[in-house]
Amino acid sequence: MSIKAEHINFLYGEGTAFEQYALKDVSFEIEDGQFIGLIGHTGSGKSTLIQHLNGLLRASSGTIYYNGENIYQEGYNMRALRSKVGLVFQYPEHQLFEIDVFSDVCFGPKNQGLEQDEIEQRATGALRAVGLPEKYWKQSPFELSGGQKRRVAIAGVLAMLPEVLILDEPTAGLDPRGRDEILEEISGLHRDRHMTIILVSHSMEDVARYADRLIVMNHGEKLFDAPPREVFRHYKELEAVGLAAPQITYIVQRLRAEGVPIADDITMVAEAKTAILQLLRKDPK
Amino acid sequence: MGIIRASKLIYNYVRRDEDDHVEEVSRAIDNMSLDIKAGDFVAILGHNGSGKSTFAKQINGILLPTDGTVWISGMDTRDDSHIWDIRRTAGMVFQNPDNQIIGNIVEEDVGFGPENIGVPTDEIWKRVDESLEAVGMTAYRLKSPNKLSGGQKQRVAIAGVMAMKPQCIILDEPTAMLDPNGRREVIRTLHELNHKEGITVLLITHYMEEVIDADRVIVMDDGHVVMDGTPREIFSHVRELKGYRLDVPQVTELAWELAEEGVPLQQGILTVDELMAALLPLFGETAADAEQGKMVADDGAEQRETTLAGK
Repeated sequence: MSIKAEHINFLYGEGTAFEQYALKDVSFEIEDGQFIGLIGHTGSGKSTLIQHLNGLLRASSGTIYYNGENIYQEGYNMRALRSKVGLVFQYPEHQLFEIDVFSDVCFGPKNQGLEQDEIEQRATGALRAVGLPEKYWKQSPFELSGGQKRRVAIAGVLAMLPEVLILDEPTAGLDPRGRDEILEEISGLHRDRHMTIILVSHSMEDVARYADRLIVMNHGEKLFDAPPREVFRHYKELEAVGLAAPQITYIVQRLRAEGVPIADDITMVAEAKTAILQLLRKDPK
Repeated sequence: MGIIRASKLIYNYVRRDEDDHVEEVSRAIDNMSLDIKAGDFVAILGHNGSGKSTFAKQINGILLPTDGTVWISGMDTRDDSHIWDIRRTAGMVFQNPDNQIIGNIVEEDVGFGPENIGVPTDEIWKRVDESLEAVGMTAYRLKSPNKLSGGQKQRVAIAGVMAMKPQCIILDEPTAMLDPNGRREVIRTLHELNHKEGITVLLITHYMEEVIDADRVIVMDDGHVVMDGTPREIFSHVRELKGYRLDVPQVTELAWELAEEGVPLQQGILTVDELMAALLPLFGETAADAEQGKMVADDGAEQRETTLAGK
């Protein structure tokens, strides 16, 4: 089970004077159950890329395989693909429309033509998975707070029982606690249900903490594809393409420059704390 | 009296049914008093629903107080005759740059505001030149806004506000949709406007790193001010901030965590430079061990466990 992209090109305005590459020769394979962080500056092709993965956009050339099947082949069931690869857009709460939270989450499975029992079961499961307390389920989605609305929108996609969940900046505009809560829910789906997650994010701290692999996009091309701690070693190159590393990386690099022998692939507060304490205490070994 | 002043401000959102009967009243601002000095760079923090944006909309009269008073440069926002003066004094920039840009080319967009209020043509061009210069976007004046990055679009939106010659700019999460570079660009631009042009800046944000250079940080919760001080004072209270659903920059958090373990570091460290200055002397005695090639990575077990726990 995997998503495999082979030499994907995507051109805007093909054949006109304004022809421009949005994606250029992008290849990768995402194994089942991975947690991918997808980063890149605005306009680097992240959003275009994720829309290819569930067939919303069709590559100008190249092939995408889902579980070994070419999604561009004659007669491929795109509709089924879209329920297996769930896409949560930026500010998904703008797409809420139903009279109450529960009905909104039911919309997806209802469209799949399922039985009422099954629909309700799925909606219940999805709302529990995103941690939205039951007292809100019969309320209008528009009365909820920003973080709660976003949970409802994510539940709407989860109710389709996707195998892969793609989220485009799910924490934009949320307060720090709200950010942590949503990311913990997503991380729980990955851990407990073995769901493949692709997280598009502008927060280097968040992808450092949650992703086991980072794909870095720059001007439509794949620049890096490696675990976060390896990618963030290249912090200078990341800065050159409009990104950065977590603040902790800069602290560690400064310490190393001053001759402190701390590992250069530390990216999180907890790790840095442990390493610095060990160095200061000179653990006699 | 400062440029922005609120006294015992109360604001209720009122929901009415089809017959205009009041269905629900929710209090977004609850007895808030505040005085902001002209020329200050002030950041407002607070969780979603704490009342930040509602307060911002009070400042230029988009919303009017249910009770209490807001004065902008001494003008009461409820005084109809002053509403346009108030909006000219306090300009607003919102989260999504795409919703705020209307011109086909950058200079047209920046000139839209002054043109709208009947500024003479020569003066409009002068203001467009100055505003674009102030945000560092002069080179892009003939470009289509669609071709710009998020940070550049937001700078154009700021230039559009600057062209109205405000004394004060209020920005409601201007960096929420931007990549790291765009965020840096916008924050740097705001500090320049503050230093060079003396513009009062009121920045609402959820990014803690963006407020460390502010003159003053205000924390809101439940519709009123719960903390008010310099960034160093505010970020010295790590636990209290977390209680308000907020956070501190990673460097501050690391310093705090180390201090909790008994490492002698002062509270409220805000930058990597400050942490280095405080931390490096402590490594003086251990440097000898470093020479002997005792690498931390070899210490193994404990560190690896932390790595796993953090995932």
